[in-house]
Amino acid sequence: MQAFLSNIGEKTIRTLTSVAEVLRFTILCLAHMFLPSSYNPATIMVLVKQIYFTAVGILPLFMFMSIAFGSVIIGVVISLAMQYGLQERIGSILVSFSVDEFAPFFTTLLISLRSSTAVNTEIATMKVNHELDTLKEYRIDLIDYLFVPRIISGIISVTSLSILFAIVMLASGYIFAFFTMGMDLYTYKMLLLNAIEPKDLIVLISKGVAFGFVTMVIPIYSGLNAFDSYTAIPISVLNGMVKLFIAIFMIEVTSLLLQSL
Amino acid sequence: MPYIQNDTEHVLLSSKTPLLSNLDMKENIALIKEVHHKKPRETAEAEAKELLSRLGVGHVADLRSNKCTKEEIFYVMTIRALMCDQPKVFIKTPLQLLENLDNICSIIQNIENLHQNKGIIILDTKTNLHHYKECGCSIVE
Repeated sequence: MQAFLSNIGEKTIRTLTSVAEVLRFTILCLAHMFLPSSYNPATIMVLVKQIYFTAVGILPLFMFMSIAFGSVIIGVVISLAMQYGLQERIGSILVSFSVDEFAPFFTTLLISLRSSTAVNTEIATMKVNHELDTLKEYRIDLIDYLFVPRIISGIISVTSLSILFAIVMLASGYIFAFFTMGMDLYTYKMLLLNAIEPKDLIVLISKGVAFGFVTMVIPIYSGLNAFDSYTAIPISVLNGMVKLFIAIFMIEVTSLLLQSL
Repeated sequence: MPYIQNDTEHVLLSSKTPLLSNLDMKENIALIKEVHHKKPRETAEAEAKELLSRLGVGHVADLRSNKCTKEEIFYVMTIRALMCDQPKVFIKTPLQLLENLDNICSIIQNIENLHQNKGIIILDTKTNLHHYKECGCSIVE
């Protein structure tokens, strides 16, 4: 019994210490993001490269996915709305579903699978290769040079791609509305414009920022905690991705709870 | 975990301070000036290229470390260390960075020709002492 309780106690202390450490790291990164001294030509260059790799490099796949998923999912939503006699509210259903929920969530999943894994592996490899020690030896702040540009690129990429996804998804939804309901473009456009509220845009942007932040902070932290061995790299990526997906679901649930208030 | 080192006396060059693999040679050197002196990238890279050319390894400026020889990497690491503000550069056991120490005297001579006005101290084991006897540098046992 005593061993059981001591085991629970140990695990609790370990979890709380880990959470406190992550929070400390997050606050440190946030503080550096707002410090003008964190920015120099090298940081700006890393930021530009990261935005290119995260947001621009993914564009062809992203556009294809948003058109394919957008038209199908909007089609399903329209069909369900008609089935349950909610034709009058189709506009607000489409806007809340695509702008508030689907666009930021799907974008985050894509960016997590493509860029968060890359960032986690990159930081873990740099740790194992002693490249992080090099930066410290040459008095280059890891947070300013490595972490801040990646976090900012995550925020910019997820937010802008979420907005793009929502626009493309709603636009491609017109194809379905035209063929199933015979709706003309003007009616569809007015339906959406009348339904959209400032609240929807606030939700979209705040979710983009929150998702973008965690899609970079968690993989960076996980890579930083890799052991000094090449076999630790896949373990670090695995742990990072699990934590990241938990964080994404927590943000999603929190947002749903806040919206239901 | 510290995210920055605060020692201001010297800078260390060893197998534990490798080049950054995601940057090419000139970017590795330019990084120091960009961060510490906020020099624009183009200026810092031009300076790095010029120093590389003076050591006769200008052709590696755009290459990454996996495309360079150990001697070329050693030169790049040395130039990068010399870019720092610290007055002294400690090179720890060059044999871990070079294939052998047969050319160490010509390498040291080459580095001296950069005229960077920094103290370069090589830390090595007694077993390698004979490699430095012809170099004309002061040896402290």
